[in-house]
Amino acid sequence: MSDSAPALRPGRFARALRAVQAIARELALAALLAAAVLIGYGASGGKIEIWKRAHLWYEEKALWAQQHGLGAEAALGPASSDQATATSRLGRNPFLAFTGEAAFRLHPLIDVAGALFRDYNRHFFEERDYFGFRNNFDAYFDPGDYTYIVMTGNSELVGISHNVTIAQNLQDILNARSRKKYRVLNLGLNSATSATEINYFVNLAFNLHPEFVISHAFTTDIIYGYKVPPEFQSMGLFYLDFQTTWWTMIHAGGYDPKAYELAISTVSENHLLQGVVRNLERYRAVAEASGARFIFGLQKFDASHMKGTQGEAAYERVSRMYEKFKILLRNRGLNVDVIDFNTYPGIQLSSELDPIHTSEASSRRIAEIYADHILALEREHQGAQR
Amino acid sequence: MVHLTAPLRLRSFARALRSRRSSIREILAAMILAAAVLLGYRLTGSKIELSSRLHLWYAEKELRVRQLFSAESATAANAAASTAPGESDFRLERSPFLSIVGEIGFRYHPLIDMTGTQFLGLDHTFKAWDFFGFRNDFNAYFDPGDYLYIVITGNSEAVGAAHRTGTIAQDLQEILSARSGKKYRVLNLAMNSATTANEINYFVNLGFNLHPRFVISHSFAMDTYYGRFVPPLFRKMGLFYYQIERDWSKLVHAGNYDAKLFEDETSRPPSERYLLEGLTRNLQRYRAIAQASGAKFIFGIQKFDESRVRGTPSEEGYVEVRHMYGEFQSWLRDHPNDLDVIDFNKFADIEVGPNDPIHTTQASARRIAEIYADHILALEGKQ
Repeated sequence: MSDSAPALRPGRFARALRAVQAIARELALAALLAAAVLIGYGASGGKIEIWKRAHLWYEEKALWAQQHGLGAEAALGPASSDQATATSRLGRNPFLAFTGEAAFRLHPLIDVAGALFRDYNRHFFEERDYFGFRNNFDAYFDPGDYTYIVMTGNSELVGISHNVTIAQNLQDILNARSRKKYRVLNLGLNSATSATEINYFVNLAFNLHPEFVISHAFTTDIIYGYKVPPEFQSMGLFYLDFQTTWWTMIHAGGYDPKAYELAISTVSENHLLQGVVRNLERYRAVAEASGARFIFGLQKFDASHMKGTQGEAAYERVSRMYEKFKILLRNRGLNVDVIDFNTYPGIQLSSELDPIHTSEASSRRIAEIYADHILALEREHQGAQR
Repeated sequence: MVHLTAPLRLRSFARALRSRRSSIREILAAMILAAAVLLGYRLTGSKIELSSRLHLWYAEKELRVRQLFSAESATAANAAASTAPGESDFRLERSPFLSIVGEIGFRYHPLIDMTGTQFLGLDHTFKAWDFFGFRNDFNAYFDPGDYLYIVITGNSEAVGAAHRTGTIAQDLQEILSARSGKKYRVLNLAMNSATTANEINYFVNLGFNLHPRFVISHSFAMDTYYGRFVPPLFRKMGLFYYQIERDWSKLVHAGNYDAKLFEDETSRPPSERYLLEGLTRNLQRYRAIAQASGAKFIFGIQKFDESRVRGTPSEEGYVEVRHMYGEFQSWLRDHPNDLDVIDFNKFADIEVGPNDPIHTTQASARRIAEIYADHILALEGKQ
C-alpha cells in the first residue's frame, strides 16, 4: 500500500488539476457572461443601483482622502464680509453637476431643475443659466436696468423643438417695437406643472419685480395632475411622476409601498379643474404682489396627434378638460387674463406625431401674439396714467 | 492496484467529507459572525443601504404581483377612470409621502421639500400629524370651515420640539378664542430645521388659499445657522436649505454628480453680507406674498442663547447667529417701516431649556403665545 501511494498521487494530482482547470474555465465563462449581461443592461439604458452606490461611496472617500492628504482644510476660511471673494469662487450650481448624462435634477426649494432640449449633453453649461434654465444671462444676481418679463411653462416653453425660443423671440420683438430695454427670463422646464411654475417664480424671480409674468402652459397640469391623489388635485399640488421615484430612492427600506396603492386607486378628474383654477388665481395674486401683471397663455395642443399611441387617453383628457375650462371662462369663473393659442390660425405643431411642441415659425408667431398683447396693455396703462 | 484503490477511495472520500464538514462549519461560523456584525450595526441605528434596496425591490414586486392578480385592485383601477361627481371623495388619511415603516424621520415631499415634524413624545407623532405631517389636529386644507385663520411657520421651536403639552400655535389659538369670542384657528406649518425659504414654500403651497388674517414667521436662527453652508449665490438670493436636501440629491443622483463641487460649496468663506441680504429679501418677499393672500405679516425673532452650547460642535454656528442678530438689528434701525417685528430676546421671562440654544420651556411657549395674542388683538382693534 505504501508503495502504490506515490504512484497514485501524480494521477490524482493530474485529475485535480484538470478539475481546477475546468472550474477556472467555468468561472471565467460565467464572469464573461455576467459582464456581457451587465454591459447589455447598461447599454440599453438600465442603471445598476449597487454600482452607483459603490461609485458614490468611492468618490466621497477619495475626496475626503484628497482633502485631508493635501491639507485642504485650510480652505475653510473665516467668515468674510467681502462679497466679491465669496462669489467669484463658484461658477456652477452644485445641484447641476453631472459626471454622466444630463437629466432632471432634484433641487432644493424649486423641486426640479435642468431644462432639456436638443444636444443637451453637449453644451449644457454654456446654454443654461445658473439654475439650469434656458437663458444666456443670469438675471438672478445681476439684473441690470432691464424691464423684466418672466415666463414659466413646460417643454414647449423650454423650446424643445425651437432653435429660437418663444421667450427669445418675445424679447427681440419687444425691444424692436418699444423704447424700453426688455429682458425675458425663461423659467420653463420640461414637464413642469403650474404648481412647480409658482415655486420657480416665488423662489427665483419674485425679487426681479417683473412687469409681466406669463404662464404658458395647461397640458402638463392635466397629464400629471390626473395621476396625483384627489386631495393633492383639489389643492393644485400637481407633482411629477419621477418625484415619487426620487422619494422611493431616498427613503428605500423605510416606507410602505402600499401607501401608494390607495393613492393611485383614488385618482379622478373631479378635482383637476378646481386645482388648475386655484393655481392660476394663486399665481396671479403672487405675481401681482411682486408688481407684475399676470397672463395665462393656454398652449397649443392637438390630441389627434396621439391617436393610437400610449398617450391617447391622456390627451383625450386634456381635450375634455380644455372644454370644461372654456365653459368656466365663458361663465367668468376665472379672474385671469387668458390668451388661448388654440383659437389662433397659423400656429402649427412641429410634427404629426407631436401633440404640444410647435414649429419654429409658430414660436415666432406665439411671441408676436404675446408682444401685441403686452404692448396693448402698456399703452392702456400709459393712457390711464395720463 | 485494483484491489488497493477501493480502500483508498473510501479514505479519500472520508477525508473529503471531513474537510467539507470543516468547511461547512467555517462557513456557518462566518455567516453567524457576519449576521452578528450586521445586527449590531443595525441596532446602533445605522442603515444598510443594500438591505434597504432589496426591501424596496421586494416590496414593489410584491405589490405589482398583488395588483395584477387581485380582482379588488382591478375594480379600484376601473374606479379611477370615473368622472362622476362624488365618486372621488378624499380617502387618504395622510399624504403617501409620509409613509414610514421604520424610524420616523424627515421626508422628502414634492413642492414643499421636506416634511414630517418631530417633537417630544414621538410615539404620538402620527396622531398629532395633519395630512402633510405638520403638528395640527385638524386638516384645514380640505375643510377650512368658518374660522379666522392665522398661519404660523418656523423651525423646531414653533413645531414645539420641547413642548409636550401644547405648542405656541395651540396656546395662541386658545388665548385668541378666549379673549375675542371669535372662532380662531392657528395653522402650524412649522417644520424642524426649516429656513425662511422653506417657510415661504409651505405658505405658498399649503396656506395661501386659506386667506388667513395673519401670517407669523417665528424664526431667525436656522437661516443664519444653515445659510452658512449654502453656496454664496444661494445665500444672496435667500435660498437657504437644510443640509439633508444635499444628501437627498446625492442619493437620487448617485454615480452622476461631481462630489468635489458639492464639497467645495461648504468650504467657501460664508459672506455675512450675503446672509443678511438673503434674510431680509426673504422676509420682504414673505411679507408681500402674505399680504397678497389678504394677511398681515409678523416676524417673530425667536429666543436663542448661544451660551448654552459653549464647548460643543454647535458653538461656532450659534456664535454666528448672535453676530447676525446684531447685524439684523442694525438693518431694522435703517428700515423702520419695512417689517412688523417682535423680538422675543427682549422679553426677560422667556427662557430656553438647559443645554439648548433655541427650544424654550413649556411656560415660555405660553408666554410667547400671549405676546403674539396681545399684538394681534391690538392690530385687530386698530382695524
